[in-house]
Amino acid sequence: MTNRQAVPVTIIGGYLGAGKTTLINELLNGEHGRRITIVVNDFGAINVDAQLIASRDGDTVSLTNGCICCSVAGDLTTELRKLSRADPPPEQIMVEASGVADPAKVANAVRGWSSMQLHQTVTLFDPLSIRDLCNDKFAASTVKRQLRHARLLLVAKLDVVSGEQLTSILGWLAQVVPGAAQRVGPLRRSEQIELLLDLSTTAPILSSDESAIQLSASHSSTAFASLTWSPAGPLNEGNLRDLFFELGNRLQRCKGWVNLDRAMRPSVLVQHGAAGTEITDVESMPVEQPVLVLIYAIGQCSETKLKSQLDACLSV
Amino acid sequence: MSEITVYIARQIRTMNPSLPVASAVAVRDDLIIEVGSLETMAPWLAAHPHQIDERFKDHVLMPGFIDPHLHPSLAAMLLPLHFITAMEWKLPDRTARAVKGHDEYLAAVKEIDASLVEPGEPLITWGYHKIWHGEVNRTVLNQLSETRPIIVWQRSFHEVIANDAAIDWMGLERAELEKHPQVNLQTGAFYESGLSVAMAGMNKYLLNPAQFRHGLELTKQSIRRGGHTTIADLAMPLADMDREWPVLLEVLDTDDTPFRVQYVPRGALRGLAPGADQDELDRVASMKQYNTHRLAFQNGVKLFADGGFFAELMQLQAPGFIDGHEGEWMVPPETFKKLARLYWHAGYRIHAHCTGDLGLELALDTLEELQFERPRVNHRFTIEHFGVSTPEQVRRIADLGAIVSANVYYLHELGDAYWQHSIGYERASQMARLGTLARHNVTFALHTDFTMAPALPLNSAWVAVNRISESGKVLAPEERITIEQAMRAITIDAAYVLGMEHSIGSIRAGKKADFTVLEADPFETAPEDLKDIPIWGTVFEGRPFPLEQSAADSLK
Repeated sequence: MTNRQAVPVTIIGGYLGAGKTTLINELLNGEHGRRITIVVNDFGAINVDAQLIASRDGDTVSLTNGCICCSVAGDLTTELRKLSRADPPPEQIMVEASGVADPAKVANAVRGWSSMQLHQTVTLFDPLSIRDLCNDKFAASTVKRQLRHARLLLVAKLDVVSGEQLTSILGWLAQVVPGAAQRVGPLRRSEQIELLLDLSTTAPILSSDESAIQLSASHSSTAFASLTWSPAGPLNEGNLRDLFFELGNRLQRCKGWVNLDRAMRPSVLVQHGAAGTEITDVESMPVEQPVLVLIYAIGQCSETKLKSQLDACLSV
Repeated sequence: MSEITVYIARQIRTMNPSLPVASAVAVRDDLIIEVGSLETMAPWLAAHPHQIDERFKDHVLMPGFIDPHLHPSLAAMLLPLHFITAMEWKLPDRTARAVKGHDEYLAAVKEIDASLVEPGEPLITWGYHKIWHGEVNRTVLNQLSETRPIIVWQRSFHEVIANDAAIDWMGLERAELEKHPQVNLQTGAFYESGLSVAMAGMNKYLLNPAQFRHGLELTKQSIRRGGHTTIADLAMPLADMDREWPVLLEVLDTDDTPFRVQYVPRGALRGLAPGADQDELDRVASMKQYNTHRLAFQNGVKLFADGGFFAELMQLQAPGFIDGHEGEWMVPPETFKKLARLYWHAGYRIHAHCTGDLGLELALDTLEELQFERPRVNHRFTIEHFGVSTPEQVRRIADLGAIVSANVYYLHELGDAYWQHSIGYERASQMARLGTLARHNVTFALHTDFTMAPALPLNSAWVAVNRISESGKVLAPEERITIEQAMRAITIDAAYVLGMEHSIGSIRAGKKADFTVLEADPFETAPEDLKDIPIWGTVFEGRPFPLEQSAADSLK
């Protein structure tokens, strides 16, 4: 078999009680016609309509609608590689991250393998408990990290939260997690499912060849310019993320390698695209000097202003 | 009933405050009959046939040493590998000398390479750390050998460095490794999620049954050499009871094994699914079906709050880590509470892994809630590891009736590193604050979490009493404890942590005849020399087990 398509992988994270299991049950029982393999934390909590079960083998259940649900005994990377190389391969893989996991870290299990392509990272959250969780002395840093490190945020428990509550919570969220508001997905479960199954959006993972940066079709009528910026020193991660979110879709793309202002593993790969910002640790940079390449909408940003905004991200 | 044997010794430190020293101990079968002197035990001797055994007349007897937290199965995986370590490790089949410096490290690898018979045999070595050994990468390893797979497993298990021959041997595809963000094909380094990629490649070798059995034999010898008569495995199973238990029975449940093992099961294998409460309780309760004379599950259960200490994954309160990274929870805090509640109400003795002070805070908040719901006395809720804590938390530990099993060795090997690179001097120097525990009268034991630390109770005691870091500095002198306190922590108080203080941990009539036989008296040894007291061997359930004879046996 030559040149199989890489299977798109979506990481679904979110704290305990966010509603991941409910969402996964809907995906498994749904009539979307997509052959999804879903890797879950706890097999026992999964509730599949008995009529849909085609076969069962230990910790793997195959459904008549072509979906497969399994849990991982050992190492996620090995499991995913096996699943992505199945014959026939699934059309999509979804991974339920553990309640305390960082979706960006789980995503690392997917990267770098030709049989898989990281498509999306999602954090699901319960709007009625999220505020308390972000103030909980034990859970706060974990939950905030989950909200910061996923490209897409989905609101759960939509059937029990009122429109007013939702507005207030989303307003609060925008303050606590900069840029979060731009990453919140649709507020209807059916549309959320549609979005999770939507494989047509351009993946923000860029190829290692910088010149092959792809521009989204929907923006083809806008004129873009590119700016190459070399930081004079280490950057503050928080300020950089804040800047990207403030720029929103005036900044089309950004990719590069920089050093952050920390002692351990300072080198990172920065990738920013339509669905969010990703900053990944790397052992070493493939470029001689730290550099960021930005693609921005002409008329909505000025090169000079961008440069000074970037300079403001340097660590003092 | 057998004849009474009376061992006379130069000194017997009983660890029983009611009779702290003695010169003779009478033993029948596996039990102590009487402790004192030949004169005081005359009535017993007059009434029963007996023999006086003088082999220990120039030795010192202590209660058999107890390590209440280590992992034989993990050790079994690691010991067969080649140790190249910055500290000396005395292993049963060899001594890994202390190797410091880059050139010395490479010379050590070369030496091993030359000694291997099979040309294709992989050379997997453990113990490397950049701080002591400089930069070792794929290029350097390629220069050592282009044909032999060489895999360097870092001391704190964070990272694996491989040469090209090893990358081929592991069966990994270079094109894919090239794109992996946590594999650096240039330097041959595999870390974090990349590490699990390397481990998958190494497992065929590491988990080979014959190798595992051999590793377990080496582990058994290591435990003997530490002078242990009781140990506890604090997280059973490692992965799979059906795979591990038969080998454990084969190697450890034998007549020539001079120690017993208490097994503490994991409270949860994978979180706590809704409605699964009774299933988990049943699972844990059913572990007792495996019990044998030497290997037994009792009333303990193990829960995990935060991440590993060597991997800097502890959960910390402000100000956190110098570089701002965050630790990890092993399970959501709510799940930890749910599990604790489940076992608390069922009357179990809970052991909670807490490495950072926020992890400890979770355990203490949980305990306080549980005490409010259903007060228990004598509950023995134990804080395991006790890395970073605050003095105020120690007071709370005392208030709530909790106890501690501490890995004080962290201070010695990680004290300097964590001072410079992780959390700063103040908190690094006060890791494992035993002095504060003692001042608040909190019962504590010392453990090694072998192979995190060498399985040597006297070595742990030496760290506890001196608090000397790897570079020779004394870290937080106020947290040092006395020799007497340290000796309690490896005998009677370790027995207490395991709920076995009625039968082991001190030398007194009615207890098991478990002794550690030493060439010198720790109570009369300079604190800095504690770790060097030679061990003759042990007496286990009334039978002497000299170490020298075992050396001869192991060469057969």
